[in-house]
Amino acid sequence: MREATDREAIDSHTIDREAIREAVDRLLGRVSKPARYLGNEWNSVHKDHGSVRIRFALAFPDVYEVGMSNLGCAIIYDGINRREDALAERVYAPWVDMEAAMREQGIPLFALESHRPVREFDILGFSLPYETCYTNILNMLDLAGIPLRQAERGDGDPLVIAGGATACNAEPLAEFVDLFVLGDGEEVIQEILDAYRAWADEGRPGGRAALIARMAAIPGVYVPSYYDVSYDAEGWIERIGLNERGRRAGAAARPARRVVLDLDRVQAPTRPIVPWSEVVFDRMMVEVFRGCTRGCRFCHAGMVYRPVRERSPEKVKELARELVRNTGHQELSLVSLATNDYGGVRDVLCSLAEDLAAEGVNVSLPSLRVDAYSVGLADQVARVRKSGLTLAPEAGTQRLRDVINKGVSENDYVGALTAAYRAGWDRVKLYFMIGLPTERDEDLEGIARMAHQAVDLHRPFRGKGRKPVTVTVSVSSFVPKPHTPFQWEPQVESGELRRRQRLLGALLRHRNIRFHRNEPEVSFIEAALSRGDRRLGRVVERAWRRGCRFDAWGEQFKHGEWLAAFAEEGLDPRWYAHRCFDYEDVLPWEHIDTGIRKGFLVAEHRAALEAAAHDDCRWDRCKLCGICLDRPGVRPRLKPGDRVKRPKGPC
Amino acid sequence: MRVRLGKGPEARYISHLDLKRTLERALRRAGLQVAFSAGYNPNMRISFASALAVGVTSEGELLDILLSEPVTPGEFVARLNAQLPPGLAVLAARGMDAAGGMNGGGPSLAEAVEWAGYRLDVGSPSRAGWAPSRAGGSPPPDWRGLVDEFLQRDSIVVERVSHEGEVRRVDVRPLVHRVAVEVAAGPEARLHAVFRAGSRRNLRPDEFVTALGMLRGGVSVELRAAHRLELMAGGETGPVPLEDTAVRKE
Repeated sequence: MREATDREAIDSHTIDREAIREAVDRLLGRVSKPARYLGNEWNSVHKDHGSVRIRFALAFPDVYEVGMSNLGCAIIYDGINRREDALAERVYAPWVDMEAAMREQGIPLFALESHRPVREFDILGFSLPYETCYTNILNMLDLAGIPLRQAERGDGDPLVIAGGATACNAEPLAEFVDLFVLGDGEEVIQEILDAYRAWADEGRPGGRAALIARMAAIPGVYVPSYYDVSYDAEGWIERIGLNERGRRAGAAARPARRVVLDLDRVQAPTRPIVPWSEVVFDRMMVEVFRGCTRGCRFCHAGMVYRPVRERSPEKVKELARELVRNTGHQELSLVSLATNDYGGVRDVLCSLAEDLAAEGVNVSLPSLRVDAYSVGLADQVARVRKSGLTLAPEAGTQRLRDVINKGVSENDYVGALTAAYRAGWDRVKLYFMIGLPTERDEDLEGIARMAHQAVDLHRPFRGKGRKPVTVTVSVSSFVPKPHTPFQWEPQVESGELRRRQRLLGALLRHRNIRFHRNEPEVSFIEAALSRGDRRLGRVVERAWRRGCRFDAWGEQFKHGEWLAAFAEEGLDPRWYAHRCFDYEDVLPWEHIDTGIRKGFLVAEHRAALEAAAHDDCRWDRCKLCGICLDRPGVRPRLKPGDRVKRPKGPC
Repeated sequence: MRVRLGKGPEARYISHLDLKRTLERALRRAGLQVAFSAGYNPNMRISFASALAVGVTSEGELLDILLSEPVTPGEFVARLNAQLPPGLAVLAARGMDAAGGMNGGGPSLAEAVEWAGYRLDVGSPSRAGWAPSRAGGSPPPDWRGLVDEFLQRDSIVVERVSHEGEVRRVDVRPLVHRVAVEVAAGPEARLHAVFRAGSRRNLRPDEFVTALGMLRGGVSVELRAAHRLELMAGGETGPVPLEDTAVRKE
């Protein structure tokens, strides 16, 4: 790691930066979507590298368009750049054509803003959005010229950290990452930078190992090399525990995730970068609340982001106005896991919608609860029915919905659709999962029934200049996620998933119905990685060396290479994806403390098998999930007021 | 408001759609009130004379913006420039009579455009990769001779591949009104050219260079940089500037 204030060192690298810029410029004429490699977008932050003490490269392991839509990254970028002693620049995975050109010409992975090589930075931080990005991470490390394994890195290499949505079960990355950041990032990242600064100011005593040891003391930091995993003869985990190095560093026996207590007390980005080109979400985002306690049993985010912490309506409106002023986007999205549950939603939506409509800005709610009230809300704010309305019933029968605890009744469903059609929507998208625990063919028939029902409900609204209805049924394959009540459940075999898809497809044949499904093989590898232990690190490396990258992109996914990678390591992906755990088994991720009690997950799993539905603790009784029990100050924060009554009518 | 926009090297690689989007956002940030089209999907009333190809810089892009609230050209330029990202700048603007619609009832900018003037930097590739150039490579072409030969031909057909992958054959020669070598220095040269531009027929600089490379049994020519100087209408005796000098020189 270089001394940021050492002018000579900085200057000697100016050549690298200019040379990279020139070389890249010559390439841009022949790669797809060249605008994504420019780095000079409106609101991008360009600081002089010689003027800061800490240089942070924020990496998202997928292409620009996907990474630029990630609010977590925007929060970290903003938080670091607000510091005077630090800068953050962005790195995305170059697309395959750009990567090929870079390798051919020897251009190392560079940060967008300055075009400096990533290996020159002090800290390289990866966002972990989903499991199928692991090969991209290795590829980016390789392109950057940084040793893949944390054990091989020296004092001249950046510290490699990783955090984000799937950081709580990223054991396959244990060999490649110096430390993980668990939970909410905005406070812990500042503490990590403070620790780095102190260590640098003291003259870097003890080198890299000492730096990591300092950071291990920060709540929310998990250093994988401080823990050892032992396996029994059949390959099941015997024990995960702190080793000698971890004990000496004073690391926790079970590293716990960070929980920001009050969203109003932390900064939200008000000058997000405005891309040149089109990205997945071309809109302004305001996080209205974080966490969710509906208790859907399949949902990882719903478990690891508890409890619910709302932003006050005043703050939301203030953020919205600043975003409009600083970006010029046409759409504002109120983001959360289930926006309609936001207590202040009526107040915020109505006044924002009025104010912003005059400026030509549309307010949208990306996650709609399935009921008439929510649709009514969405209708209040949507000036133009541009796109379809999305509802996610997830399962086709009440029985199965109760198993997975997706609280949607038949009445809710019919009410939501009727409200949508009455309000003028003619296109509806329905999300379902197949392969859910206890699923039977009659549940699939239930999906078909609901789809046909969606078509029939539109009939009274035909004519009067209305288009015919289009119902799109989008079906994904269930992947059992760690830290959820279904973590002990196996994934259904790919062949069987395919059979269920075909059955459903046959039942959905109708002029007004479209059917989207994904390839079971991608979900299969995702399940293997998601439920995987540290031994999968070598599998990921082999898969990458065999050419795997962008695994989440259907056309790039190389199933054969993944199978070969597993075989070469003597491991079976089916064992990982399809194994059923007992409650007493040691799970590869159970040393990570998300704050949720194992007893709660077991109780919820048992309730699932009895199709017993449970309600949200914000208005129903507490289920003792544990998140509010041991930690001072952690509790649901609802604004306004402390109790939210079931919302009644729209504004 | 009729606007002349410059696109510099920092924004070279953004597409025409990117440019349109960026402009719309900048107008919003600047608080300039733009009129919207009617109907289900309201769009800002902005019309471009011609789309600029990716990779080409320009000092002469023209567009008309229909404002719903009046503002002086000076204020318009200042407020919009303050919100434009690196590489984009309003070079000049003048108010137009909106009584008869966007162009006072006359032909739209897009309809009026027929030609475009370019400055092209071409070269004979002698460097491989991004290492500093090595001596050697093929001998520098006779640029003037090459251009003369091009002009003497009646037709040179080049293949144009669309986004969807379909291949069309385009005769480049008739789309070139004029081309001349301004400076020739060994393996590099600077050319001035006037090509067809507009919705019906248009020629991209890279297509012209491909055509050049097909002469004399195949010459190694590379387009280093292309810069659009101005857009032109079709006059009786040939291309005439689309905008009067008052706007161009501002």
